This record gives sequence, structure tokens and C-alpha cells, in this order.
Amino acid sequence: MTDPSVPPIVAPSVDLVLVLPILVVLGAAVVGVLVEAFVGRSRRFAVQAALTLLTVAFAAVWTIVAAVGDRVGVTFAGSVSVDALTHVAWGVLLVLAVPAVLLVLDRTVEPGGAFVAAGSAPVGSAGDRRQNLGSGAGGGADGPDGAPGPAPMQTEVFPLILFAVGGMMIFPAASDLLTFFVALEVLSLPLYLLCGLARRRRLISQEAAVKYFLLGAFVSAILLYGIALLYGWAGSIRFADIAAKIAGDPGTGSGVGNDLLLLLGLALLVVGLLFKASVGPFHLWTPDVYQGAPTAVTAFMAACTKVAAFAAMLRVFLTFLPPVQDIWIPVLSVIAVVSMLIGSIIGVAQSDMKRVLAYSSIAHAGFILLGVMSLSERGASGTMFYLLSYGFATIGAFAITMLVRRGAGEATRLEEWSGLAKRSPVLAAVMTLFLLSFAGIPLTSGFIGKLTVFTAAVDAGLTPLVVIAMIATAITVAFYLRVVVVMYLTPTDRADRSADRSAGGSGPGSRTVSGAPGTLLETTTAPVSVVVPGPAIAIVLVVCALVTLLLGLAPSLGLDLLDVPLPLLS
Amino acid sequence: MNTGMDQVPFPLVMLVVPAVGAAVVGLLAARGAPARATKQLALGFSLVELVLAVLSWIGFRNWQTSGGGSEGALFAQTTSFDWIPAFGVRFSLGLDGFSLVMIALIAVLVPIVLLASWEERLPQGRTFGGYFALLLALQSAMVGVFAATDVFLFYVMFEVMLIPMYFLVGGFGGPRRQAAAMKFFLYSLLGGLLMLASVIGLYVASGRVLAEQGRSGTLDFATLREIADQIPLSSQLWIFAGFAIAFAIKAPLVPLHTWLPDAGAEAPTGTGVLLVGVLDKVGTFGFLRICLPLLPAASRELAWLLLLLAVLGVLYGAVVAAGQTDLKRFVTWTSIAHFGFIALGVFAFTTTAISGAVLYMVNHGIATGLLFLLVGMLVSRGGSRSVTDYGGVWKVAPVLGGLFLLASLATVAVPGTNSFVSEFLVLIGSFPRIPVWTVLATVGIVLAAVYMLWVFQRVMTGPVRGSAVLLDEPTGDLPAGPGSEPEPVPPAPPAAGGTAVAVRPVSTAAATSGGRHRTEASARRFRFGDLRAREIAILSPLVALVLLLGFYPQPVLDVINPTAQRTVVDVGVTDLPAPLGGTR
Repeated sequence: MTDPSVPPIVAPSVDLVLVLPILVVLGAAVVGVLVEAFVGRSRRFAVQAALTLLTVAFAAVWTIVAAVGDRVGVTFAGSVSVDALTHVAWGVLLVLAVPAVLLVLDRTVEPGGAFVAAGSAPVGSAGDRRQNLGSGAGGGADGPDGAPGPAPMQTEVFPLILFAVGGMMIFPAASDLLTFFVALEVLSLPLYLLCGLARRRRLISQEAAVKYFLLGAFVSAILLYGIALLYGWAGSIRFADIAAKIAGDPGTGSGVGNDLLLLLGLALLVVGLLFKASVGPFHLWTPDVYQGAPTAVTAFMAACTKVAAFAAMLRVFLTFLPPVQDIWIPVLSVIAVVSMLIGSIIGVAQSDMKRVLAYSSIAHAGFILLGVMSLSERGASGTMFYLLSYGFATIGAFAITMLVRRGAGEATRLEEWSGLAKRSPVLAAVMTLFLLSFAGIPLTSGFIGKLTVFTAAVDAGLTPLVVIAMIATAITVAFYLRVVVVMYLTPTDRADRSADRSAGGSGPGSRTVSGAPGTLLETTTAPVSVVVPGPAIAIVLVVCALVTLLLGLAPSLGLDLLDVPLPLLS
Repeated sequence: MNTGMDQVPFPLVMLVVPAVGAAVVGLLAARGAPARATKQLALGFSLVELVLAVLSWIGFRNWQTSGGGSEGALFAQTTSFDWIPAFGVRFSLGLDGFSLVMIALIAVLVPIVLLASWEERLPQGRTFGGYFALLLALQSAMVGVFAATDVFLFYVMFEVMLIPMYFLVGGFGGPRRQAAAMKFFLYSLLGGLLMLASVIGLYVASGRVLAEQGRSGTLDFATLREIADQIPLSSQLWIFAGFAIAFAIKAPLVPLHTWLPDAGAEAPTGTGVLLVGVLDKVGTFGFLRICLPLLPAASRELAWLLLLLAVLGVLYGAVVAAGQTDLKRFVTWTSIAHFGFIALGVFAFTTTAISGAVLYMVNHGIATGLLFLLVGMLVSRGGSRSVTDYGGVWKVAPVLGGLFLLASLATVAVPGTNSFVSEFLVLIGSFPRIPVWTVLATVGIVLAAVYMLWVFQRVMTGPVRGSAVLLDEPTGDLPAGPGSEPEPVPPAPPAAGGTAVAVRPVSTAAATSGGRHRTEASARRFRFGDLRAREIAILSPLVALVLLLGFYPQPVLDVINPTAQRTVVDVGVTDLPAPLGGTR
């Protein structure tokens, strides 16, 4: 019966408990889709919001329990490895996903929610106007509470977010190339959609979605090509096999640089990762997408996508690069420097709050890359700490961006923030805290993040890069400081004057707006106002501010938890 | 080794008290407490701090005289607990001679600054509560910088110090305050970040040395000092560069000084006193605290460069100061010249010179503080910062003029004033090791006399003149200096001034006033009068210190000398006695 020349087919070992958090998140996403189909419209929002929050919270708690219990292992025939890095990445990701979801489900800032009610209605059409104005309220944009207000938002947003979170969880755990690619797609596709669902300024939202999708699809193809080349070189898609071949290949020792397949394959793989992490020069989508996407989604992307991408990068780099680091560290150094300089220098010229934060995220991606490049234990845990502190600060900053409004839309132009400290001193103080954290001023979490990452980099012999990073940081401070100046030291400008001035089109944002039909222009002449945050956003702000302070004052709390022992499993 | 008061952790208490004060005052102000109450509360906190400083000084002397410094313990009144174990960072505070005198200087200056700012004309929309809270926060951070005995904590405090100062200059200063504050912040932050790179470098380098003993890296001052010689010179040079740039920006030494005239001129007077008097000393203090003991090889190697910058600063600062027409900028430029002297003393590596440099740091804080306050009082009276708007002020305000003369003489370091002692010590201490640099710097003394007396002569002596002094002088008569033209303070109409004596007609039209102003002033009306008793009372402690330390500096030198000797030993050079025997 059995042919001795063919090895018997062994059923792969599958340990579902290890990957339970992923299963729960993806399962809940599927349930969410069913909820869309079967639960009545009026109750859908509550059900979806509760389901999403509970799922993410459960996954977070389970991850922490599993991490404490040190439940690690490789499963699914070596395609998923759940080790310390995975646990830390999941923990950081899920902890950041909770405030991001809270931002998404807030309906106090924008009646009906920040997302469009019917994404299919063309911009400017009668249906589009109706869904924003509400059927009863003819005049004002904001229907008073009694009158039927704007139509409620699409609740598909919630399952989409869960799918994205699920993909982000698989991404750093993937330890073969195909799982890696599938995870990337699972996390990306929902994000493309989410970007296009803004209720206000729909055109640039949709533009952002298309841009992100096109570039993302392109990069997916590049990544896939890289995967094919790597497979062609190693004859296996498993990380372990490829790593063993890189390390053990007789021709590798010194001559590996000539191995074109490996070199090209890795390069294309790295490009895909850098794109997702919005590291310059693969950052071109970031400012437009961050600006156009609904702010809650931007916050989610800025915090969570970065975690997933950098955690996956850690696994790929730590697995593949050590034997060939002589070739790769110089290349990555150039990329890190480019990212830091692009983010900081171009950031100085921005006049839109969301674009400022986008360029800041590009600069930070460069800093984080230093931690990944250290290829050390300290670098890995430093990277995760950086991501945690940066994530909370960035979610908090975007949350505040949601609150500063003009008319029915967000007031994101920098000059519209002038005198914010007078109007709402607490918000201005909290925003300043986040900006100081970005700037890496001591006693904030951002400083400890920089410290850990830069220490790892110096330890790994990347001192020149650290010096450049310091200079780039000083440049970024210039634009963070400008926001502080605008908030504290500039008198409140009269709304109409500034609206007139910008009507000529100064920033890239306003140029997109002018000339667009009604829904886009409705907001530009009303005075700037600051919304009193509802419970969800208030919780987010308090939590983000507390974490930022606490991790700055007593960083050991976070540093000990985020320890990533090497080597990784694969 | 000692029990009792000399081991009370005063540095910690002195760090906490103003911080709490800042929080309380700030919160009260935010809740709309009356300005008077917040001001008194802030003053109360600063006076408590002063009392603590005195107690700390007494305790330190006890510790020193009972042989505390000689038994291997570097610092007195220490506090230390774990902060970030992953980086071997501890929250440690302690005092040596250098830090004690600087902290005492802060403790003396802050109440004076608060009192002098009592009737400051704040920009629209700002409250005294906020202003005083920020001053207290600044005090807390400065105490932290001077008392930190962990390099990491030093760095943290160094950066934190920027934030209150930024808001003080940017929120409460003159017309171009925002640009000045931004320039100050970015300059300092760039320096701070380079210093952070060096802190990290120091940590990694220490880790490599300590790994041989099975220990992990540290940033503790005492440990780093022990292993200082084992760090290879090439690493030391890089680490030194980062620290030196940060300190040279802060001090400021000449090519990196351009933020100071802007920040000092735009800062409100009280803030300016702390900026020039104390905050800048963090730079020279940093050289003494970190560069010399922890990076001795690099310090020896690069001393020539710092000496070059020091002498350059002495000469260039003096020349530019002579050309200033803005009174506040003038004071900052004189300070730049003086910082050159301090740096010269630091890098001469002799006990006498280093003692002199530290004493100079104290004396400069007192003398320049006095000068800055006087300039502030003059400017708030006349409503202009331009030298050309003043003339013959002495005749109008004799007490102001007299004190101005004293402050000027102290700035020129005339014997009998405090600055003379320190300048003298620096020069005779430096001469044996670096005669050429010292001789070059001596030229600076002559230049100091030139710029200081010239300004004094133009502002204080001669006939009463100038649009800032005379009411009936047509304003367009004199070319307005660069500082005066955007001044928001209008050529003060009567009673508009926050200083209650905006106008005091010395002689009304009818009165013949044959008394005090017998000259051409008899029929004219002046914009302002002399210092009031309150103002004289505020200035009197500084005046007393100028004279006291001029004649009897020994108490301060007793505190400084042992630490100076230790620092010279740390650098690893043989001490050279001063030609005159110097100070014991």
C-alpha cells in the first residue's frame, strides 16, 4: 500500500488555544456581519458597538493571561508562531484598539456618528444631503435633538474594524510567507473601505480611500513578487527554513550579497513592510490618507497599523537579517534617515493639523525603525514600548482634533486652533502633553520610548543615526511647538477673517475643498467651536493622558511588561 | 556617617516645595483666585525655600567640617531611590559645594524676583497666578538640575527646565516674545537632544566597562566617576562633544549664543534675571559636574577648544556689548562676556581658577541680577529700552542712579565689589597653566570698563534729556532705537503705568523748586521719579551681597574649595598653585 519513497502525510498540529484571540476577533467580525443582516436598524448600533468593544477587551485580557502563563508555541504547521513577540504585539495592539474603537463609536461630536449613513449615495446628490440634514430639519446642519437628526451611520464600520484587527493580529504572528501575505490583505482591505466612509468632506475621504487602495494594491503585488522570489531561492515558504538557508547556506557566509534572488526577494518584502508602516520614502500615501480618512479611522491606522507593521518587521528582520546584516543595515540606515528627515522637514511646512500629525508619524516611523534595526532584545522591547507610547499619544491627539469643529465639520487648519487654550484650557493642556510626548520631552512616555530605542541603537553601533535622529527630533519640535504657540500664545482669531483669507487656497487641504459642492463647503464660514466630549471621547482622553504621564514618570511599569526575549520561535 | 540635620535630604525638599507651590498657585489662579492672594502665596513658598536653603547650608557646613567630604562620600544630604531599573537609572539628589552655592543663589533670587515682578505690566489676558506659578516651577526644575547626582536625572531636569522658561518668555515677555521664546526653546532643545545622545553613549560605554565586572551600565555619578579613566578616549571625545554643545548653548559660549540677547531682551524683567543669573549657569555648571569628572581624558584633550571659545566670548561679547543701544540686550551681552571668564576658569584646571569660576557664577548672578532689575525698573518707568531715549537720569532719580553705578562697578569687577574677587581668582588661577589665554582675557576687563561706563555715562549723567525721561520732549526728536520702536507701552500718559509713579512732576509749573534740581530741569516735567522705598527694599539684599561678598567671600569659598580640589583631581592633572598663593 504505502510507497516508501513518498513520505507519509502528517496532519499538521493545530493548537487552537494558542490562537484563540485571533479566532475570537475574526469570529466576532463574522457575527457582526450577520448582525447587519438580522438585527433591526434601531438596535444595530448598540449591538455592534458592544460586540466590538467586548471582543477586543476579551482578546486583550486573554492575551495578557496567555502571556503571563507563557503559553507559547508554533502551530498550523509552522505558519503561525505565538511567542513573546506575538504576545507583546497583540497586547499593545489590542490595548490601543480599545480607545480607537471608542473614538469610532462616539456619536456626541457628530450627530449620527462620524461615518456616512449611506456610502453609496453620490456626493452632493439629494440622498447625500438628506442623510446629513435629516428628513425634518430643513435649515440648519445640526438638527436639534427633538427633530429627526441626521441619519445614523453605517454600522458595517464595526465588523470592518474587527476584521482589520484580526489581520493585524495574524501579521506579526505569521511565520510563513503566505500567512504573512494573507494577514496583510486581511488587515488592509477593511482599512481601504474605512478610509472612504467619512460623513463630512466626503470627496477627500473617498479620494483618500482610492489612493490608499491603489498604492496598497500595488505594494501587495510587489510584496507577492518578493515572496515568489524568496520561495524560488529557498524552496520553502516557512520563515524557519528560509532563515536556516540564509544562515547555513555554504555560499552565504560572504557571498550572499551576490545571491540575487534572496537580495531582491528580501528587498521587495521589506518594501511592503515599510509601506504599511509608513516609513519614508514609502510614505507618500500617509498625509493624504490621514487627512482624508475619518479622524477616528486615522487614529486607528496611526496607532494600530503601525504596531502590526513594525511587529511583523521585527519578526522578519530578527529572523532573516542577522546573518546578512552587513548588507542590510546600511540600506535600512538610509531609509531611516530619509524617513526622519522627510517627516520632520516637510512637516514644518504643513498647515493642517491632521497632516502635521501624519508627517510626525513618518518621522516617528524613522525613529522606530532604529529600534528594529538594532536586531537585539533591547531594540525589540524598545520598539514595542515606543509603539505603545506613541499610539496612546497619537490617538489622544486625533481625539482632540475631532473636538475642534467649525460648523458641522472638523476645524483642522492650524490657524483655526488659535486661542484654544482660552476656550478650553483642559483640552489645550492635554494636547500639549501629547505634543510634548511626541517631542520626547522628559517625564512623558515619548521620551522613554526614544530613550529605549536610541539606547538600543547606540548599543548596536548605530550612533551616527542616533545623532541624526536627535537633529530630526529638534526639527519636529519646531512644528509641535507651533501648535502650542497657536493654542496658547495666539489670540483667538475671528473666524470669518481667517475663512476669507484661506478662501484663496493656502494649504493643500483647502485647495481640495474649494470648488467642491455643498457638503464640503457647508462648514467653512461658521465660527470655530469646541465640542464638549461625550463619555467615549472623554474616557479616551483621560486614558491616553494618564498613560502618557504614567509611562513617563514610572516607565518600568511598561518596560517590564514589554520584554521580548530572543530568539523568536518559528 | 553623621546623624542629625546635616543628613536631612534638603535637595529633595527644596525640589518639592516650589513644585507644590507652582501647582497650588497655578490651580488657584485657574479657579480665579484674586491676584494678590496668589502672589502672596507664591512669595510664601519662595521664602520657605529660602529658609530651607539656609538650613541646608548650615547642615552642609557641619557635614564638611566633620570630615564628610573626605571620607569618600561625594555628596551630602542625599536621596536615592530606584526609578528605571532597566536603565540603571536612579532618582538621586545630593549636594556638593558647587550645587549648594547655586541652589542658595536661586533661593535668594526667586523671592526678590517675585517681589520685583509684583507690579509687572503683564500682557493682556495673563494672570499673576500663572506667572508666579511658572517662576516657582522653574525654580523647582533648576534645583533639580543642580542637585541631581544621576546623569539621567540631570538631563531630565535640564529639559524640564525649558518648559516653564518657554512659557515665561513666550507668554509674558515683550513685543517679540514669541519669536524669542521659540528661538530659545529650539536652541536649547537641540543642545538637549545632542546631550541625550551623549547620555545614552555614556550609558552604553559604562555598560561595556562594567560588563567586565559583571555589572550592567549605569548613569550614577559616583560610579561613572570611578570608571571614568577606563572609557576609551575615542568614545569620550564623542560623548564630550554632545555634552559640550549642550552646555555651550546653555552657557552660552560665543558661536552658540545668539538666542540669549533675544530671549533676555524679550523676557519680563524678573524672568530675565533668572535666565541670565541662574539658568545660564547650568551650562558652566554642567562642564564642572559632568565633563570634567566623568570625561577627564576628553576634557584635557579638548580644553583648548573651550578656552578658545571662552576668550572669544570675553572679547566678542565685550565689543558687541559696547555697541548695543537696547538696555536689556546690553545686559545680556555683558553676560556673554562674563560667561567667557567663567568658562576660562573652568578649563584652566586649577583649584583656584575653578573656585573662582564657581564663585563667579554666584557673583554674576547677584551683580547682573541687580543690574537687570535696575534696568527693568528704569525701562518700565521710561517705557523704552533704547539707550538713546535716556539721559541725565541720575538727576531725576538719584537713588536709581547710585545703585546703577554700584551695579555697573560690580559688573566691571572693581575691587570692593563681589565680582572682583571671582574675576581675580579666575585670572590668577588660570595664569600658571594657560598664560596666553589669560592675558588675552585680561583685555576683556578693559573693554568691560569701556562698555559699562559708556552706557552709564549716556544714561545717567549729563543734562537731563531723552524722550523717555522728559515729558515735554517731542517723541520724534530722537531716533528711536531698535528696541524702542515696537514697544507696546505708549509714551506713558499719566497714571497709565503699572509702576505707580509713571509721572511725578518734580516741579509743577508754578513751583520754583530751587531745591534738588537746580539746573535746566527746573521748569520741566519728568516722566518718572526715583525708586520708591519698596523698590529699594527689594534691591537691598542684592546690594548687601555685592558688598559683603566683595569684602568677605570666604564663607562661600569654604564651601566651594573642597569640591574644586576634587574636580581638579578628577581631571587628572596636577594642581598648579596660583602665583600669589591663592586661597589656601
